[in-house]
Amino acid sequence: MLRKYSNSRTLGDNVRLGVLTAFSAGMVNIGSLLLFFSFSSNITGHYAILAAELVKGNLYQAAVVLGWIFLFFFGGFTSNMFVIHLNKKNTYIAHAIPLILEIICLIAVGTYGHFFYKETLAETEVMLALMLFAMGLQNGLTASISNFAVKTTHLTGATTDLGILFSMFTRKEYRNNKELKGKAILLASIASAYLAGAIVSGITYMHIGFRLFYVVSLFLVVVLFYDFYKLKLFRFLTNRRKKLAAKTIQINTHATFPTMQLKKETEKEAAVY
Amino acid sequence: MKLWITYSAVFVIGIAAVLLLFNASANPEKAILGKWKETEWKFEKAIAFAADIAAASKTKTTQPEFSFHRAEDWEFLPGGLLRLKIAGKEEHLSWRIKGRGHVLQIQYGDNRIENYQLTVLENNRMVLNAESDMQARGIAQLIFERTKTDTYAQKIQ
Repeated sequence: MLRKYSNSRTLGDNVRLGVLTAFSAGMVNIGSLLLFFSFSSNITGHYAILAAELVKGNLYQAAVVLGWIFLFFFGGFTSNMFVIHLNKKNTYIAHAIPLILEIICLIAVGTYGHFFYKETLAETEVMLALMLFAMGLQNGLTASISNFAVKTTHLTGATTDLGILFSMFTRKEYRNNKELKGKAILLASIASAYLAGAIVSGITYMHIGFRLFYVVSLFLVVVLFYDFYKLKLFRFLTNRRKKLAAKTIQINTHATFPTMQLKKETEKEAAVY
Repeated sequence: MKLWITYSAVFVIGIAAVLLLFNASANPEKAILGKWKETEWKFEKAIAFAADIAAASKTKTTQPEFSFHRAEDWEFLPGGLLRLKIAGKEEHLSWRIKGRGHVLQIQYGDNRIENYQLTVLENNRMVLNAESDMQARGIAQLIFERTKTDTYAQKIQ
């Protein structure tokens, strides 16, 4: 999910990344609405609110919303900074750092909310600010590494694109277009996962409150470790293949030993990966 | 070097704009402190459901849903304490402001919670909107005026 970059990503990579991160975003967004009465990823709405508050002369509220919008922007900025500056050194690390930062933000909100929250306005605003920064990080990362194919914290664009795609599918040549079908699958998966996350969040919030953010973090840890595990597995298989190859060379020096079987085994492992 | 200066300047300007706005405005948690007299309550969207609402308010079927039907004077004290005066008697509740400072949450002793949209909060006027989807179909609006004897806001400044 995180190892590959831009055009080298498959539809499967994007769907896995999209579904897991959209589910988390749906949970965070509804969690923040239920706990703090404000969305944490609905930036279009925040722009509208900012304008409305300015018109009404509510400068305090306008400042708060402007700060939140800035933090969402800064989250996207930070994510992409890591991606473009560290990508050549280590792709996995470059893509994992924004996710680690997001997990830290969400765990901070969950822990503070669970143990220390006194329900003051300042606390509410700071925690919402952290969530907006986290959502900015996530959206920046997924959009950046998927060549802008995966955006998971809001669904305006996805819903528009789905509408366009479904209208295109009324013609046969577009229905048979694999790329368009793949895009529709990806967007539908993201929308469904977001909705599912929001529903799960709405139900679980009543029982677990702020611990909800630990659950969200768990999903992000899955995203993080899925690739880590694959990388480890890849290294393990490569090392094993090298050892087997070395053995084969050694055995080849003894003419009587059947080397073919070992070669076949090595080839099989390479094919599996 | 020039790029870093440009980026830093943009960030500093952004942060300064937010801080300036904060500085030029009153924190709703402080602005709300003091005594408020409920002067009027009405339902928005009244034209559409006038008959329903009139009937509901006359028979008081909506009464258990919101305090505004009963309380005349609201006194917001520091520390989240709300003193309601209802027909000469006092009731003590707790209050919180949530969201971006636009939601007033009132909690009763039995953990019942009421949420109001803090639509207007000026020096002498406050408007709360309570959405009721139970009996009366519409948005109930409560209008308050600050009681003149109040000095809380001045005291804390």
